[in-house]
Amino acid sequence: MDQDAKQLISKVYEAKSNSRAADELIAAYMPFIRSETSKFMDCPSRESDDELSIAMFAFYEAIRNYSRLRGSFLKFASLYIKNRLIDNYRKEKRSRGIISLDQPNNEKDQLIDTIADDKDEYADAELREATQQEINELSEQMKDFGVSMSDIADNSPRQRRTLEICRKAVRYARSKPEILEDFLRTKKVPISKLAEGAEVEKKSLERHSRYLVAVLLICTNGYEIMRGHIMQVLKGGEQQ
Amino acid sequence: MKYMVMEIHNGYAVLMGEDSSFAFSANMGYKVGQTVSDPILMEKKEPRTSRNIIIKVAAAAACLAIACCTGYHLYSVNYKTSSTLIVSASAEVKLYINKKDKVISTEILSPDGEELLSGSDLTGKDKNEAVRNILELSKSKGYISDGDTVSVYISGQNGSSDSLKKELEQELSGLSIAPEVRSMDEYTKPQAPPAPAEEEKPAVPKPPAPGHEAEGKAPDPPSPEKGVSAPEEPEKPAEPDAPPAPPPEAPAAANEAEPAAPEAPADHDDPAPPGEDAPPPPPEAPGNQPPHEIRPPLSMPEEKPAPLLQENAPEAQAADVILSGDSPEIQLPNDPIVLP
Repeated sequence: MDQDAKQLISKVYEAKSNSRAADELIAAYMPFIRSETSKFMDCPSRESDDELSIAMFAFYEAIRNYSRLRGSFLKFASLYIKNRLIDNYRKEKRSRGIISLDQPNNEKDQLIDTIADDKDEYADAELREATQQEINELSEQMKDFGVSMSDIADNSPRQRRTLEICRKAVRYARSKPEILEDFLRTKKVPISKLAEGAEVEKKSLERHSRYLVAVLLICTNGYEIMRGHIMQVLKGGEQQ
Repeated sequence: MKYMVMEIHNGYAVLMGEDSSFAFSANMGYKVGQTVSDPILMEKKEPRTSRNIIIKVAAAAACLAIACCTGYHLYSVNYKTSSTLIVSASAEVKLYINKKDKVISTEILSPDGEELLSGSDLTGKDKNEAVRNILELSKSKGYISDGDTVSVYISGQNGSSDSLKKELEQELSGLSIAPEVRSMDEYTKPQAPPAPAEEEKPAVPKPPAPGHEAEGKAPDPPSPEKGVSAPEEPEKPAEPDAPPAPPPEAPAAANEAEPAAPEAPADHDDPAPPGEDAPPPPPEAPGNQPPHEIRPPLSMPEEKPAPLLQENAPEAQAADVILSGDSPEIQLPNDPIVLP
């Protein structure tokens, strides 16, 4: 194995846990990603193509799932990109015959411009801005707890049963404001209290403690938009 | 489900779903705070942990065990013999039957059976049907006739003999043959035809022995020569005359000396020459017989019968009577015969 390949593998391993290193690696290998996408599309890819975004995401997936036992990273990543693009192609094939609203209607307008829009664009923009502000605040607050959004996405429960266990714990915390106050003061998830109060397995909560940090923070005051987004699930506990 | 974009990167975005789950997705030009539906989410693969491997191995073992159990069950039901049934007409046929009462295989126990079953296959048939077929064939080929009773021997677990008898009677109702169902323990193998007399040998005179009195023989004097009697060693008639064995201590000790008798020639100092002037001495009274004089094997005289008859006619006649067992009275010679 030559030096470049070894260096690449070490960068891949660093990017597995470091989102910034992952971004840098993706940026460094954009020509490779573009070339793989073009090979699949049989035409040069553009920045606005969905295929290119999917190929970049596939490259990131390859970084996360790569192991030295798999051989050359670039071949591995190439396979991932190709598979993802094939999946997307099949998915798109199902909805063929449907016209996109972004399709140009004439030289000036798009098709979407011909449809009466009852949405309030300004209100939507304001809401998005407010949401963005909340998310930024949350990200800042999460730094105090030593977690990032990528960590939370990593630590989020995949199974429905585990997700329900975590929800039960969060519902219990919402019903006991002192627990949330404790959590904010100590910057630690009161796993024992939650497990005892919600009558769930302590181990399950421990395994997803970083995820619980984000959800418990959202449940505290100040994040109304995000709380509203997940309220449909959490309100089941309120009714009880 | 709708997702809220929480964070965006070059190649991916972090989304929060309405079910409060967080996930990675492709960044299709998203902006933070935007709500999207139907994103391309990351498929998280389960890492290879020892727990996963154990679960997979256990699952494979469970599948194997289920396959083995199923296979064994199918084998035991379809291919394992659970009972045997012998149809004992003139031709005897043994049927191996499985748990479903189907014939797995047949075995022919008598020579007629081979002829009987030639060209017919009973495998896979119900046991009652197979018995019926055998009896029909026997009837058609003349081994049995109407009104005959046919013995059927059964062993194993497939029902009691009573129920089998009822079944068979029902099955054979049109054949006018009465089945007689018996246990396999009562079955005796057919007697083989007498073998040709290839090893016919002349009658060997049997020496009188004290232990043979109960067999209807005339009372004989206790003879220590029982151990060298001819019937027990018929293959040694050509050997030299049996030398006198060591005198027995008591008549009861004769049996104990039995195994040592063949070795006697090696120990003896003066063995008699084979066939020369050695007529077999007639049995004598225990009191008169010298302890060292032992009658030679009774099979020996067949080489030289003439001198025996000529020289010691009365004794030989008496011995002949003893051996043939024609006369209930045995006349013993009065005078002892002394070997040269």
